Amino acid sequence: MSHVLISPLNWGLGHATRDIPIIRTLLNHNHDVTIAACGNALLALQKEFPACSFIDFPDYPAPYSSSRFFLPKLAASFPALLQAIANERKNLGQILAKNRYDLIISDNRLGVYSAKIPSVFITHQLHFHFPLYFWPVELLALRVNGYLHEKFDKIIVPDNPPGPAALAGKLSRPSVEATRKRVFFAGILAGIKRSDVPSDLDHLIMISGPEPQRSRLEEILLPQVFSLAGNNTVLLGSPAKEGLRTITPGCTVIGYASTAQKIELMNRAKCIVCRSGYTSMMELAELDKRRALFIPTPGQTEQEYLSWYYRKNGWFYSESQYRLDLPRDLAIAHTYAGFPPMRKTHENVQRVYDEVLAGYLT
Amino acid sequence: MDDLIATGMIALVIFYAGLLFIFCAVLFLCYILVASILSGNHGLFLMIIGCILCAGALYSATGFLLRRKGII
Repeated sequence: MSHVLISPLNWGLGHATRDIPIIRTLLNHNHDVTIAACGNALLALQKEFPACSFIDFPDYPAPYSSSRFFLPKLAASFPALLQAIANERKNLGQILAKNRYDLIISDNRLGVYSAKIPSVFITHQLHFHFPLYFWPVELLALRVNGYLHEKFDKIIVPDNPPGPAALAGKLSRPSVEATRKRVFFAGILAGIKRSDVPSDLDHLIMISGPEPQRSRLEEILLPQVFSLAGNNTVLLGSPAKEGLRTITPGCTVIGYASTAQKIELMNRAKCIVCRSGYTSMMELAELDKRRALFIPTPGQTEQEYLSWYYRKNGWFYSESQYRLDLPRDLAIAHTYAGFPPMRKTHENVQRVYDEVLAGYLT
Repeated sequence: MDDLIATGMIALVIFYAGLLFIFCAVLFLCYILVASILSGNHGLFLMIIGCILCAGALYSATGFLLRRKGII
């Protein structure tokens, strides 16, 4: 029995939720798991795995912007980011000094590794996408990523290998040797499961992501939802509106849904409208959802790239929130094919354990 | 000091120095453009504008080519 330290980044719940199947597999193999996280990621995992040990381990402020000017804000936040990573390294040293660990799993936390303990990094972004006019920065970022990946023994990518079924497109393509020789393509890792419930919901509209863009999308979408035919549900994704439930003929608006509620609604939905965050994409693939409309968060280059990539492949339609016309865009979205068939999480996580993690554990 | 942080600090200095260099170069170019107009040196003015357009086109073409080839 080994002791594993697992530390997801708290930029949204995506990193924490994709680690759920990995943590569950480690526990099933009787390993001790300590979860070091902060904020909502920590709360979500405490709820999911009450028997694990937990450490409140602050990470970095997310450089989200209220406008489209994400990149200048990101550039201006570099000193604060570096300071946060320095604090993270210091805190990690204290955590490792207090306990014995056999393996460290870092989900996108750049400073969570040790030269003395095998360290594994989970990321779907081996290659950062920037607008074309920033191409020198994109080239530079490839080198920086390679340098960072050298600190880890293995890089687990929750995506299919590069090729026609790669869900993250060029984002999960290893471009430098340091990354290539460490990478393991796990396939999708989603924290949710498909269940046999009737598909009685015509549209599930999930308004999520960082503020203030979440509120902007709510303002744009809500007036349009009531013009949709059929049985529809809107999840506002706002903890401040927990308890809010408005029911009108054909439409239910829920302020904040629990994870279980959200999974049930996703399973029941025939068509899903959501942001194009990578974790949501893995969840749609896991549930085999073929009908969806994506609305990328303005200025988030990863979501903008994924939307473009899926549209180009004929998988899913997407539209900017500034040009959204829900009835028209949903009609177009229904002509797209959905993701190609792929291996699901239960199979993938077993491969991750057998082919990567088990090698470091006793 | 942790080598990750030391490398990060060096990278940060180079990054911001690069931004400062580009900013100064743009200011200097603007100064020459204005000076050439004020002194009536239209040849110099047109030459600088031409160079800027060529550099912009070359920059864009390189970006397009790299994306087309799948490097970025």
